[in-house]
Amino acid sequence: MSAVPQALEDLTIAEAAELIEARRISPVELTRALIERTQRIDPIVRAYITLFAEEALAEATAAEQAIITGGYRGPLHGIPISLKDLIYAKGSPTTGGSRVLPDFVPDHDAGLVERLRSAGAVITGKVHTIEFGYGAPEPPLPYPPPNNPWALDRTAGGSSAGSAVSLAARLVAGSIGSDTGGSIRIPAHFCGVVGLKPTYGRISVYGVLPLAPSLDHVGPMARTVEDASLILQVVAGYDERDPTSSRVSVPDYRAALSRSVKGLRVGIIREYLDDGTIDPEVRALVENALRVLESAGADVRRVDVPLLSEVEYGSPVLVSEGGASHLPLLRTRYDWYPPNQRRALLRGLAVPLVSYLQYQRLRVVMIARTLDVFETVDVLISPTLPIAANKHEEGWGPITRYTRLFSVLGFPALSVPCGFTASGLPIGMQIAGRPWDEATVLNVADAYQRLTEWHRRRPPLEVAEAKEAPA
Amino acid sequence: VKPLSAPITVETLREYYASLGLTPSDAELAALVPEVQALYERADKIDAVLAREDAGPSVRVVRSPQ
Repeated sequence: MSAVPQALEDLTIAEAAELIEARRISPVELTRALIERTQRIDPIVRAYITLFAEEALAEATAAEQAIITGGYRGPLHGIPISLKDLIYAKGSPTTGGSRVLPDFVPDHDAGLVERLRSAGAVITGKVHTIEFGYGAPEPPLPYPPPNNPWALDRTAGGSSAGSAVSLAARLVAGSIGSDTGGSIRIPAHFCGVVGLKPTYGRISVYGVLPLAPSLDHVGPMARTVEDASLILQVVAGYDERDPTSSRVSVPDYRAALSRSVKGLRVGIIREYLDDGTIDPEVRALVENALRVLESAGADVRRVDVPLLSEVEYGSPVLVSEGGASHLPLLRTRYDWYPPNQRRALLRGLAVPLVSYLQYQRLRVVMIARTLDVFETVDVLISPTLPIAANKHEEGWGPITRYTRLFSVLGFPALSVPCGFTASGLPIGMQIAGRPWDEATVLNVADAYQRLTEWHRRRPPLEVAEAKEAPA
Repeated sequence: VKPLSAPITVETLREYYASLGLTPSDAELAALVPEVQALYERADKIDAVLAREDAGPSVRVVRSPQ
């Protein structure tokens, strides 16, 4: 048997799956390597809230036994995957990243976790989220915010920061995040990984702590687009226990990756690229990425998307649904909430009903107007964020400016790494598609990734580890 | 639940939240007064956008973009 060509932690899901299926590496070997790496590196990056070291090794052992006896289940079999700590895993604490829920142990898995387990994935643990996936870090924090693996003094953003950090730091091969206004795409941008917010209703949110149910999405995060498609394939689909879940059929996402992008109509959102506040380095990197797509034959054009400035009126929807979701806990654990988050939820409870309903009507108009734009393009592209990662003490900055549009619309949107600033910080490009057309979004992102090497770079954590080590 | 109605003051907010089973402090209520007033002003802006977009009563709220 020939040697495995690279370090186990660097293997993508697709690469690891091929080796596992061929029995060139075992799920136990892979999981043990990542768990041991987590025990060394996580004190530096702080991705995990709860590490399932023993459970993960037991699951890996079971996967190994099944594979040896001919029971290989597919590309996620034996693959270590982390979960944002808003997602239930039976019998394990789900904290929501909050001091309000130190004692909640769900008695069932989330719908998507059931699917991951059925596919043979190894659940490595629960990773960091800002408290309940809402707002910015508010000291004193129950769980310190993760450090950006590319610059430990900088933020990884949120709220699915633990997912992005665990991937960038090579602690896992895949992760599941959640996104209400950009929370998958934002940390993906800051950490140089791929994050997909699928169409609203594509993945069940049964067993996921809610924030704003008409805006909440869950989705895959990975180091490559191909890996994100492999996870999506497993977790997408109807779940009768989630009233927002859709019966729309799930296509073969991996097959879509091989399609040519020649002639594909790519619309760059003019207002976002010409936004006067965008960091010129971010803009230049996205413009370079567009040239790469052009070189592959894509037809790139600038487009205007109507009603962009009206997206901001949607914040009352988020806070009012958040207030309603949290009302039972506010009644019993009022003083446990961080003050600013509590005040936002209280504000949400005072949103005028007519305002809430009028904005929901406006969302319908926004969906219709944006679908009109998709008559002229196949995907819409923008920077994922206008900035690179700030230092922790600088705060997050305008992180949802370009992401919340697609949360409001419910359309699929993905962040793919498209370069690094001069100071070595990753930048992401946002690619959005028509409802239920994740396949085209993945196709364009994968075509870009096959022409670039950004996803192969790894942060210099071993240097940081050496500095942290006792003399 | 006691309906919240104008004018938005510390006292009207206190009564409203009490009817939900919540007891914000005086400082929280004072901070919330301008924020809640802004929400009411924002409702007028959304009305104006809907009128501008000619989004008449036939626009129905749907749950998902399918």
